[in-house]
Amino acid sequence: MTSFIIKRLASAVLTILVVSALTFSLAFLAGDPAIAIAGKDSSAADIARVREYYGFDRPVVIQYGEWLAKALTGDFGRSFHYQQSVADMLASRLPITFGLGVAAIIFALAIAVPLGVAAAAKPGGLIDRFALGLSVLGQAMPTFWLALLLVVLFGLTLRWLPISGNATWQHFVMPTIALGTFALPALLRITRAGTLDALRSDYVRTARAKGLGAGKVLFRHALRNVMIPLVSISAVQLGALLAGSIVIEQIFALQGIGALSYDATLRADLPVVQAITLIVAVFYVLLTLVADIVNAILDPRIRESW
Amino acid sequence: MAKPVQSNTGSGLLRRLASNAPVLISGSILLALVVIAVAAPLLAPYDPYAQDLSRRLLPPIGYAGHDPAHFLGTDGFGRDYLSRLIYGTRISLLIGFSVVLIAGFIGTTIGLLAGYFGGKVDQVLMFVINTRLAMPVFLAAMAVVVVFGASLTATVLTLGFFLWDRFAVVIRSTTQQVAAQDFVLAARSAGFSNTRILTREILPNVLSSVVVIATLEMGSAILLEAALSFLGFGVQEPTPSWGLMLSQAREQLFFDAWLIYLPGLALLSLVLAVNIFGDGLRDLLGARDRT
Amino acid sequence: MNDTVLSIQCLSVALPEGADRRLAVDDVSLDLRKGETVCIVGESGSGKSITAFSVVGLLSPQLVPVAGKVLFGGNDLLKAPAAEMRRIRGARIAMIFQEPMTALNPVLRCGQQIMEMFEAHGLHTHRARRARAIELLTEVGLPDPAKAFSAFPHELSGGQRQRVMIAMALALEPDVIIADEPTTALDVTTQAQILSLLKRLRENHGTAILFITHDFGVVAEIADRVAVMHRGKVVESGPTVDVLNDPQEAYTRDLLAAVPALTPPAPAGKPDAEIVLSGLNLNKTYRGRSFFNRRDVPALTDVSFDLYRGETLGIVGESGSGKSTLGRCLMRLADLDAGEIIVDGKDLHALSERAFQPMRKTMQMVFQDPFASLNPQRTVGRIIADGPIVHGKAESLALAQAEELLSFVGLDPSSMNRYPREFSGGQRQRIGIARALALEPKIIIADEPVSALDVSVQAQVLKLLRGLKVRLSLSMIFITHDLRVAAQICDRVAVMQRGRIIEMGPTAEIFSNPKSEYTRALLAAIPGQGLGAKQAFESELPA
Repeated sequence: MTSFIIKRLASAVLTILVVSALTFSLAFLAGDPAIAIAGKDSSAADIARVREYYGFDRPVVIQYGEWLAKALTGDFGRSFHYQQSVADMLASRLPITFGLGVAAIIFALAIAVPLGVAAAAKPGGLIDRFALGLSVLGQAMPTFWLALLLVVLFGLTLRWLPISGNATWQHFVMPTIALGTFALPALLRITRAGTLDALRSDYVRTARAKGLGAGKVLFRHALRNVMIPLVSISAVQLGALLAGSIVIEQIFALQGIGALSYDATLRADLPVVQAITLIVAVFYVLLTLVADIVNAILDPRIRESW
Repeated sequence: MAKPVQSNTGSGLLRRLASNAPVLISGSILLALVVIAVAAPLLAPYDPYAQDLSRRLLPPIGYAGHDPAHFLGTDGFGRDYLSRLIYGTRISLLIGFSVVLIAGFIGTTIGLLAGYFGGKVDQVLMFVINTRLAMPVFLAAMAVVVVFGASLTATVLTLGFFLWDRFAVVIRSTTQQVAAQDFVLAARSAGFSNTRILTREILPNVLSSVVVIATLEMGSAILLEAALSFLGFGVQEPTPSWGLMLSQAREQLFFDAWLIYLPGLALLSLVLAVNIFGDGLRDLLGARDRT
Repeated sequence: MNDTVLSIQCLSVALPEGADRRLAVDDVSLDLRKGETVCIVGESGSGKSITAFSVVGLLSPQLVPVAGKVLFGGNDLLKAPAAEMRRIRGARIAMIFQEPMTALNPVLRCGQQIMEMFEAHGLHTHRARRARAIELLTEVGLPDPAKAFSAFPHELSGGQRQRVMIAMALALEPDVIIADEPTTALDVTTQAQILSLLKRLRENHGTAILFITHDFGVVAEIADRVAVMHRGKVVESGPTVDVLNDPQEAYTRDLLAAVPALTPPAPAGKPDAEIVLSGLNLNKTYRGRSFFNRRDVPALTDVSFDLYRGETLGIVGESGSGKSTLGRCLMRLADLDAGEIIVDGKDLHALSERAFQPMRKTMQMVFQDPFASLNPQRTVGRIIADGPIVHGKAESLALAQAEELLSFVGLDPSSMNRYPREFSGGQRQRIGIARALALEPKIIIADEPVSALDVSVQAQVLKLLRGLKVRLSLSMIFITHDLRVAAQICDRVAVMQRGRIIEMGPTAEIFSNPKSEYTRALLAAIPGQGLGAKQAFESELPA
């Protein structure tokens, strides 16, 4: 198992390197950072001085290498715009986005798993049709529009919930629902399909032939096999949520990395954009790795194939 | 001599299509939206770009102060809301189709090659796929827009070059399943070239998956464009995009909340129709493949 | 009779709308007495499994019993409430299924799955359940019961998994065990062991067994009484000896006549001396690819043989013997590690893919699975004509030839524009044969061409192959696990075990006087030795 993890980590590191190199070069094309720092109205001489001071006049590869070497020590440089350490900025904002992502995935799972199982228990029944409708609707729902509707309903009309900021837990209710709805359809579908497959399988027939009760057949035999794809999809969805929270943080004025990446991209704040891209890629890769390990614990056949 | 056991069911697909209510309804809605998009100049009562600052923020029918000249009211620049919605259909459909065309081509090619050749080819392409998956689409799309400037073309190209992952992943595994079947071995033992095997033997057998993913991805592309435009990183003023309309409506959220309802509803119905059509298509094609 | 434990009376089960007939099971009556084994035998679609599943109420929801009774312990099980059925299932009527890999839950340990039998019926403490499970695993003859207890299903062999299933079925000393094709997925030697295990257990425990099978050999081995089913009806039933030796019904007679006899027919004539293909020291190893499991599996070790013009050389062996790998390596669908394949004085293995491409016409393959071996998206005409077109034949000529080939293999030429899904398994196999013939090969490699077919269809396809071989003076390599089929169709036989040819010679000689221990064991394991008819292949050549 350890050597599997080592091998997986190696490919993960390579993936992260490629992603970071790509964003670094992309960000580099984004326009002259020296102008961004010096200000649009600066003289050519000032811009040249800034360029030299930050080292923007050297080859991209060298700058990338330097950035990477520092990034490995946790030093992501200083924000051009905020004149702050990027690492500090991330440290204060990550918990908000991560918390929102986790809350949203829990919200989505809390609905998707029971509903998906109940739907599969009686295919074509009322619950199944409701689940199908919900997943189709959730999939077609523009997340930011749902957020706006929530604001109008709970924030402006009913005045139950605060509509901007991240001071209290109440501030996170609407963002969680909006983001969770985005993750819901995929989880619901995989739960329903997995349960349906499991219930039709030979081993569930065997379990029933033993005289086991419906509950044990479902929980011990069927659900355990449903969890394997569910874990993988949840990991991917959580990764997508971290990146997808940009719009939601914007709407609800949450000071997470989503909102930060919006500001940073607008202002061509290269160090911040690079750091965020790297962090999101690392998160994605780690999440899928964790999912693989969890699945290996759940399924002996996966363990074997390592 | 032995006759086939089953009568020809060539027309079966059409017959099933006709008896499948969701596919029929969503298909009709889609068709209607395509017609609206194509015939926008004939249908729109006003020029969607024509501003009239003296008639700003007129409410739609049913609200106090409604002006019968503007059935769905006007936006913050006094432009006719209905006309902008109608023209918005064009943008969304255009984005949806062109993004899926680009992404479908890239993803299907990668999936076919990885699934058929396996081994080293597969390892390299899987790495490409995984790298793509590790890149946050939205963030990358924003960055690209900053580099190349925001425009319809930039949005289409960016999304097209990012949204191929699902095509690649699904077509890869479908290709693996198809390639493992004996008829592919038979083709190889008859001396068919790899190109012929990929295009004549395998592609027709994965095409139904491609079509189904295409409808799902079309929905995603439309939603992503709207979200990008909403944040100002997609289609730019004054082009009538639903996402952009929502972005402007948001500024009036406290005063004229109705502005957000219609563009969102339009977006929702289009994507809903596309997705339901895709789901129905999957059931139909799946049913045919099983027999 | 008083000792009847299970009585199926006038049972009918409806099929869903749109099926080929209204009733899956049509007025079936059957009694099972204490300590007795009754076989229900029939071809696919005969309704034999549905009859068995009706008894325990495990039918899939679209199948509904519409008439009759299933009497067990004085109750009609068809009317029993769910809770009552649950108490009976496992405890008093237990089941064994066909595919032990999928019938066991892949993520639970075997021991735990046996212990569940007690748990389901609220018996014993945890410790006692564990002890009983180990006892049961010992009784079904697993060499290391403690290890099997903590093993996951995929860690055991097919035979061992089926023993675990049997241990599970035995756990609560049921009155009846229903076994649905329990040996069909197993190799012949393993099948023999499982059959003798079932016989021994029945004697020790007095359990009645309702045994579902398609194989008359198995019937001859294990059944006291037999019921033959066809299209939902029991066409004939009675004591096994009577039904097998003196069948009253035409259908039963036809089925029995289609079973190939184990004694080969007398050699037809002098063998030809011209060698069309030689394999010399063929070697191939499958390398373990996963990270932990780096075991290399030798698939072919120093395999050498000659194929003479006009002969059928049988390659027989159990799963994992390397027989299919050999076929694929000869066709260059898999790569050899070392060795020479000589055809027309050229070593095919040494040729580049480009140089080999024109040679592919010389050898063509017939595949096992009639469903997977035809592209579902192409018409039958195209499937047959594609090969010649690729090798440079004009399209119109190739299509005309395809039409001829179709009638040659006994199909209507109107099949040209139809799709494979419109044909039955046997018809598809004929299409596959026509496709192989389209390239006018000298050698046909047939990889288990009749294994997926019912016995009556199998006889027809074998007859076709044999006739074609003679008419077109083809040489054939016939890969099969079924020694009955080999006895009837092969001139010579090579027996393979673990990647080696351990014995090779004229079929009659191998069957009457096997030299190796393994061949003897293989032959001895075949159920129902005396059963079957010599197949009259030569009499009916296709027109």
